Amino acid sequence: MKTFIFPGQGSQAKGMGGELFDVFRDLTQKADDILGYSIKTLCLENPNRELNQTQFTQPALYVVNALSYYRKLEEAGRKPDYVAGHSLGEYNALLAAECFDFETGLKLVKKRGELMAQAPEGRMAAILNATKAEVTAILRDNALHNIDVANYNTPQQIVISGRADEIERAQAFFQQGNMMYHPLNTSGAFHSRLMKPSSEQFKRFLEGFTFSPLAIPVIANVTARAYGNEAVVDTLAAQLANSVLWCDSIQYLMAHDNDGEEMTFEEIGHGEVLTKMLRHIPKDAGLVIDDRAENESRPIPAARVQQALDNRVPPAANDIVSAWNAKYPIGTKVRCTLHDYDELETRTEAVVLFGHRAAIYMKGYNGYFDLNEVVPARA
Amino acid sequence: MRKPIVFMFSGQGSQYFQMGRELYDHHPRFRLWMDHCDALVKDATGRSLTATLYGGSDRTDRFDDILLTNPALLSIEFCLAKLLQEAGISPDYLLGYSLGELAGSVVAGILSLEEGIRLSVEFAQLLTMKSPAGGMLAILGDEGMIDDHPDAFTRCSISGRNFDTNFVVSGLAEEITKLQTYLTGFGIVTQRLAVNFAFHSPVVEPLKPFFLQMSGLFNYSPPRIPMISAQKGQEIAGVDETHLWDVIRQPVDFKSTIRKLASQQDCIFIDIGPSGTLSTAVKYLLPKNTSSIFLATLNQFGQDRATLEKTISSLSGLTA
Repeated sequence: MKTFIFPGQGSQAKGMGGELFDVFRDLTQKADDILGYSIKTLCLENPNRELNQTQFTQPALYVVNALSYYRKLEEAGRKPDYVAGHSLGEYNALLAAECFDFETGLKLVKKRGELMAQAPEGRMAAILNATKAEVTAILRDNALHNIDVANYNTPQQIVISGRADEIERAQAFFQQGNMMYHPLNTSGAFHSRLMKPSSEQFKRFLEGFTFSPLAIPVIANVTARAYGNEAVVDTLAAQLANSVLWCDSIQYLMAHDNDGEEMTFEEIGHGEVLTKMLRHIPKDAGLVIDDRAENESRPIPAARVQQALDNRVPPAANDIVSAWNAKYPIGTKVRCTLHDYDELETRTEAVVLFGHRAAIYMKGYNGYFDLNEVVPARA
Repeated sequence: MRKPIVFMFSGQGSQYFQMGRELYDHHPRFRLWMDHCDALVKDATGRSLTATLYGGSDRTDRFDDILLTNPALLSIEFCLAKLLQEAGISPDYLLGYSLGELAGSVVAGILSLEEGIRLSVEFAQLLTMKSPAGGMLAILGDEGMIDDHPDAFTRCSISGRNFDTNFVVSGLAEEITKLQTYLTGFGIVTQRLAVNFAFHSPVVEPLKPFFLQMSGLFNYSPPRIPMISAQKGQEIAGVDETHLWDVIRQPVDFKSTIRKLASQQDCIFIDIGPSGTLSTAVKYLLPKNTSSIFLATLNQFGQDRATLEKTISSLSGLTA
């Protein structure tokens, strides 16, 4: 069993594509005609320093991924069993599945890159060493209500996306324990609600095309499940404003190990961004794929996926927190049952941290106190 | 209005074994980021940065293997900047001195940390393969001494102007040795830097095409934080391979860069290097009646935690 995976933005670099443009002269010429500039010059020489600008990055990656795929087919002589792509890479997965031809895909990608480049200003940041539940809980508990999770890349690498000021403010909350905050240099808040207008515009553009039934199963970013033939327009449009469920997609594919044959992955395109991620994605033992049922699988609406992610706080911590807040105001004198601190006085309401921990902050102390280790002081 | 905060990133020569050791042992956030850098350095070099840096060598042993000093300086400066940023101290400007411009570029988001480390390693590999053995000599004295000893300096060139009585020259290794012996004979104090290359001099000129080709393959994004180059002497719009080449080849004028900046506005200058060399230089560069201040985060004499805490606490008072 083999899956080809195609990288997206972030994998571009000057020099990518190498001799492929000369090997696939006709396709390169077609690309130039659609784009109105030389894709080979852009990728190999980058004379105007445009390769890093979204509206140029996307067509460049699409073409390099596509040509790499065609060469791979020539070498291997056989198609993969599954395909998936990270964000922009999903277009190459659909191309490999014969959903559209090379030129159509490039037209879609060109439009997508333009729309994303024009999207309202926003920021993205990578959070390392925090789980999904921790990230969403921290965002919620600190009133970072306008930040969305853009990518679930690995269990320990999550990308957040939103308004610039909020993304910057979020840093303070992702520097406890082993968590790391890395700001990313993107022009917009991709895969967030700020992309909704672009997503709607793009949907109208997508509706002008006809798509063919998929010849190979394509795992969609927004659902981490195989595409339904009817859902191409909606799924591609939704992808712009929704999380890339990459970790789940890979784990879903890993579960396709029927007859004891393991799934193998091969990254097709420039660099090894996705290959590096693979090393950090463990197999999900709980995920069992029933192949008979699989043909019936249809993408789950993105809203339902989001809902599932938001419902992860165990009720226990929530209950403890609301019970405390109903009874004790900020400024309550308390005592810690675990260590002997002299005078403790609460400086916040109780909050749920990391999705499971009932916590509260004290005046003069930086870290949080576990609510289970705090009792009101006797007056 | 609060004064702008300038993070200053020092270059080759400011590194030493055990730099940041106390923080690595006692500051969990520093250790976390350092281990993160270590993993990236291991990917790029096959060697462990922390094992070398915090291994058996004493801080007085010469740490001059560019294959590790390059990523080591970048890593330690990145981690120090992170620590300050996590303490709520955000820079208004990033000022790079020589290879410190690379660390500044990473903090500015021009290059990712991984790319920055890879570039520093690939540049080091290029140097060890293509550059003749060179050296750098810091001289305590006025640049005017060159006129007094014209013959002694002909085969070396000024590579850095730090303050009025401190400048640096670069040249081939044997020329630097000769010059040092000569100057010592006149009672002039010099310090050989832990660098085996003649940065900022014509000696590195043959590397140009190789460097441009290698560094041209990296992605340079626009800076998120304004950048000041001590080579250009002013704020720059961005960094790319041609600017990096100028940084390596042309002399550094820290003296006029700081003077110019401090004459426009009073600043808080924070040395993000391991030795406090740049904050010392700033001390000599500021005019008498200035309200600018200068701080170090680390130094060679230990007390890392105390120094860092002092810097952070003095700033939280100023910036709140």
